[in-house]
Amino acid sequence: MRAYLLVSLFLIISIKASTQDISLLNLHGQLPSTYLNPGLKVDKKFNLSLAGVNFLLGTDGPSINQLTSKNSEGKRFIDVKKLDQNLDSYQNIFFNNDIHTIDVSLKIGSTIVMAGHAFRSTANVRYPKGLINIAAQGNAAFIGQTIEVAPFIDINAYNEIYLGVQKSFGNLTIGAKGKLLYGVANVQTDKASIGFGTDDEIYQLSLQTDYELRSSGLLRYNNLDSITVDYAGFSFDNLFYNNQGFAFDIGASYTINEKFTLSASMLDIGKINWDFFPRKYTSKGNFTFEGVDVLDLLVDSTSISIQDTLIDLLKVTEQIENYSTTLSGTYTLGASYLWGENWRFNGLLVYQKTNNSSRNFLSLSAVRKISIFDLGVQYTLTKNNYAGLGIFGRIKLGPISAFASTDNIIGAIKPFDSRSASVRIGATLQI
Amino acid sequence: MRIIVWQKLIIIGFVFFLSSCYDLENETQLGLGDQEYNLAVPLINSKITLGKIAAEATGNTSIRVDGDGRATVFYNGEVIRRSTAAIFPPFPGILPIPILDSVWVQEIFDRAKYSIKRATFDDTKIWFTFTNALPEDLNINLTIPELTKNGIAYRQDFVLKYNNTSSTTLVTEEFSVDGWTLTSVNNAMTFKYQARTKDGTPVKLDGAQMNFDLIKFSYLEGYLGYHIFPVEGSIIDVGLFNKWLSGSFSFEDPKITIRVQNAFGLPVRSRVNKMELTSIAGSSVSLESPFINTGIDFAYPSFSEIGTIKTTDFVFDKSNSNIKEIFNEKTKTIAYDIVALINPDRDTSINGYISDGSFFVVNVAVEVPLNGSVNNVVLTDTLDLNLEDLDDIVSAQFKAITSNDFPAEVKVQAYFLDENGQRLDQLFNDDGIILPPASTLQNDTTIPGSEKTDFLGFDDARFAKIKRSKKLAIIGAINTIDSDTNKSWWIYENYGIGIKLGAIFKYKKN
Repeated sequence: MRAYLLVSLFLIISIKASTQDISLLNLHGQLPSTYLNPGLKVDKKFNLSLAGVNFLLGTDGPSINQLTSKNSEGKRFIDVKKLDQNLDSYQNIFFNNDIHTIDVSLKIGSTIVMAGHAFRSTANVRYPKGLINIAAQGNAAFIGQTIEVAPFIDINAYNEIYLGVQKSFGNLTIGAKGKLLYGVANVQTDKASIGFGTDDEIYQLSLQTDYELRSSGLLRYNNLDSITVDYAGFSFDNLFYNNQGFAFDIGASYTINEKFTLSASMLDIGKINWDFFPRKYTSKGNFTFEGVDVLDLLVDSTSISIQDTLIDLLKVTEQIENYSTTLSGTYTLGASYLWGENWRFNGLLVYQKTNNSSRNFLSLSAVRKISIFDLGVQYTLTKNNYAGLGIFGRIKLGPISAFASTDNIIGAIKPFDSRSASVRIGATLQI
Repeated sequence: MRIIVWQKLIIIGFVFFLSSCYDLENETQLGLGDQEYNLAVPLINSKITLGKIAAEATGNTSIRVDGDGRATVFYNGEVIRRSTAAIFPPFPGILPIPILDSVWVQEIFDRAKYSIKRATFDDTKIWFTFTNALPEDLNINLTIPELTKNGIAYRQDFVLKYNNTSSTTLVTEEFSVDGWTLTSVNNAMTFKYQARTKDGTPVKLDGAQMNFDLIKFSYLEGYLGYHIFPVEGSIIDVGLFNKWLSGSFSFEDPKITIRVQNAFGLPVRSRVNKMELTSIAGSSVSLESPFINTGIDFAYPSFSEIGTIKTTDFVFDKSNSNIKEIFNEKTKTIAYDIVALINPDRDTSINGYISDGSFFVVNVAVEVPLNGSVNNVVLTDTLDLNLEDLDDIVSAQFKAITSNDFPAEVKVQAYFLDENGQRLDQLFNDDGIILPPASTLQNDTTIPGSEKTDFLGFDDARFAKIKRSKKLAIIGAINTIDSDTNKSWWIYENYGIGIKLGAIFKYKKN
C-alpha cells in the first residue's frame, strides 16, 4: 500500500498539481485545513504535513476539446467549425500549482504555533474572443473591422515561508500567518489593448496598441517571432536574495454548537517587489502595413519579405524597471455541519481577485466516515461550469493519514473535455 | 477482511485515476489546422511619380526637374581626367647631372619641347659627389644662381678631406630643394664651384656631379609643350529603349553636352573625331555638326586665377546638329572618339602654367527633356519567377486599384511562362489592365487620374497552373494623346502611376 501511495505521489508531482477548495474543509482538525483558513482549529499537540500538492487547471470559456481539434500531425489547432459565436468578449484560463513541502504545528499552552514552506504558482491568461476568431480562420472574415486581439497574461511563481499562530477564545478560534515571499518568476500585464484592423481598400493591416507587460525571470521578447519563455517549475531561485515580498493570511472560525461551525478568511493579502531583471515591455501607437512600395523593390536589390515586415510591424520597447505585484487575494466563507456520527456536510464560498480578472465559486461536500476511510463527494459551481462533481478520500492509519481529492472527476479523467481539472493530495501526521 | 479489499480497490483505482493524466507536452503542441485559412494582405501600395524616381536615382543616370516641374533625363559620364603628371611627369634620378668645370651650364628641360620660365621643386632631394687627387684637404663652395628661395641663390660649402689615398671622394648629405624655384631663360641650370687648398690656391676638381632622387615640380610656368590625349569608348548606354518592341518616340529637344573643367593655365581644345549613335535596330548614325571638325576650345584660368577651375559646356542640339533625328531612331548606345589637345596651336609664345593640383576633366552628358510624343510604343521584359514558396496557397483573389496621371493611355498585361517559354496563363483578364489617359487642361498639363478597381480571381485550378511558371513576361503599351499628329507633351515631376494591390489568399497547410 505504501508503494502505491509513493507511486501516486510521484505521478501527481510529476504532472504538477492545486488551491483553496472544499477538500481542505473536509480535512477539519488537520494542518492542511489552515491553507484555507488559519482560524480553522487544528487538533492535537503536534501536526506534521508533508508533500501537499495541489493542481488546478480551469477555464470559464470553452474546454480545450470544445475549441480545438488535432491536425494530421497530432498538433492542436483552433477549429473554425467548433467556434462558438456566443463566446464572451474575454475568457480566462487559470492555473494553480501549490507544493507545500512541509508544514508543522505545535500547541504551546492554549496557542498553536504554525510554520511551513510552499512553492506556489498561479497563472491566468485572459484572451479575447477576437484573437480566437482570427487564429481560427484568418483575417479575411474581418475586412473593414478592427478586432481586439491582446491577451492579458499574468503568471506568478514564488516561495513562501510562513510563521503563524492560532488561538481559541471560547467558541471562537482566530488564526493568522505572516509570510515571507521570494519571487521566482513573474509576468504581469498592466495594459492590454491591440486593435488589429484589416482595411477594406486593399486589406491594409493596422495595429493600434496600448500594451504594457512586465516580467522577471520568465519572458524575453525580441519580436513576434521570437518570444522566449523560460519556466522551470518548482525552484528555489532567488530564495533569500531577490524579489522579496510579504503577505499574510487571517481567518476565524466559530463553533455554534458541537455540530455546526462557521468560518471566514482572507488569504494572500500582500505583494512581491520584483527586482531581478525586471523588464518592462511597452507598445503604444498605431502601426500599419499598407503594402510594399515598388520603388523600394527597384532601389533595394535584396528581397522584401512581407512575412518579416508583418513580424516587425509591432514596435515594442524594453526597459529595466523594478515593479511590484499583489498576490491573488482570496476571501472565503465556510460552513461545516456534523450529522450523526459519520456524516459531515461542508459549504464554501470563495472569491479570488487576480490582476486582471476575478473568480468566484460555490462548493458543497458530503463526507462519510467508513472505518479508517473518509469518503466524500463534492460539487463546485462556477462561471460557465456546472459540471464540477468531484470526490474526496482520506485514509487514517493511527496518527498518519493521507488524502486525495478532485473537484471534477470527469475533468481529472478527461481534462481536455472539461472546463476544469484539479487534484489535491497530501499526507499528515498528528500526535 | 472486507475493509482490506476496499482499501486495495480504492488504492488501485486511485493509481489508475492518476495514471490517466495526459502527456501534457504532446497534448498541448500547437499547429495549423487541416482547414483553410483566408488571409487578406496588402501587397503593393505605390504612387510612382517621376519626382520619386528622381529622388531615388543613383549612378550616372538622373532625372532633373526644372522650376516649372518639367522633367529631363540625364546621363552623365566622365570620359577623361588628366592631372599635372600627365603634362609633366616626375622623372627619377637614374643618371646624375655631371658638373664638368667650375662654371657649368646644364640643360634641364628639352628645348625642342618646352620653354620653362619658372619651375618650383616639390618633394625633391639632391646631393653632390666631388673627387680630388691632390694629397690635401679642399674647401669647396657651390652655388646655383638660377635656383633661389626668398630671393637668395642656392649655396653650399663642403670640405673634401684627404684620406691618404690616391683619390679622395666626398658624397654629401641629401638636401631638400622643396620650394626652391628655378628661374631660367634657356631651360638650363648653372653650377658654379670654387675649390681651394688650405692656403687658398684654387684648383679644378677631378670630378663633380649633382645627384637627385626624383625631380618633381609643384609649379611650372612657360610653354609647357604640345600634348594630345585621345579618348575612345562607348560607355554611354542610354538604356531608354532597351525593352522596346514596337512603336516610335519623338523627343523635342535631346542634347549631348560636352563639359570640360580645366584648372590648367593652358589652352585646351576638344576635338570630336567621331560621335556615333547606335539604334536598337543595330544601325549606326554619326552625329553631324560643323563643330565636329573644327573642335571646341575651352576656357582656362589666367595667371590671376591660379587655383580656380574654368568650366566650359558645349551642347550639341537640334540647332547645331542632327541629334533630334538620331534620338528618334531609338538610340541605344553612343560611341565617341574625342581628342583633348593641350597647346593645340603649338604657339610657344603662349605663357601658361600648371600647378601640382591642376587637372582637366571631360564629361559627356546625354540630356533628354521629357517633352515629346509616344506613338503606340510597346515595351516588354521577362522576369524570372519562382512560386514554389506558395505551395500552401490554394487560391487567390487580387484587388487592384490603379490610377494614371500621364497624358497617355497605358496598357499592361503579364503572362506566366513555363521553363520552355510556353504560356500557362495571364495575369489580367482579356487584353490586360488599361489605364486611360488623365484629363488634360488648356496648358497641356493633366489633372490627377481617377482610381480604377479591378478584381482578379485565381481559383484552385488556375493557381495550381501558375505555380509551375518560371518566368513572367510583362508587356506594356503606351500611347500619348494625339500621338498620330506627334503632339508633344511635357512630363511633369508630379505625374505618376498609382498601383495598389491586395490579395485574399486561401491558405491550407500541406
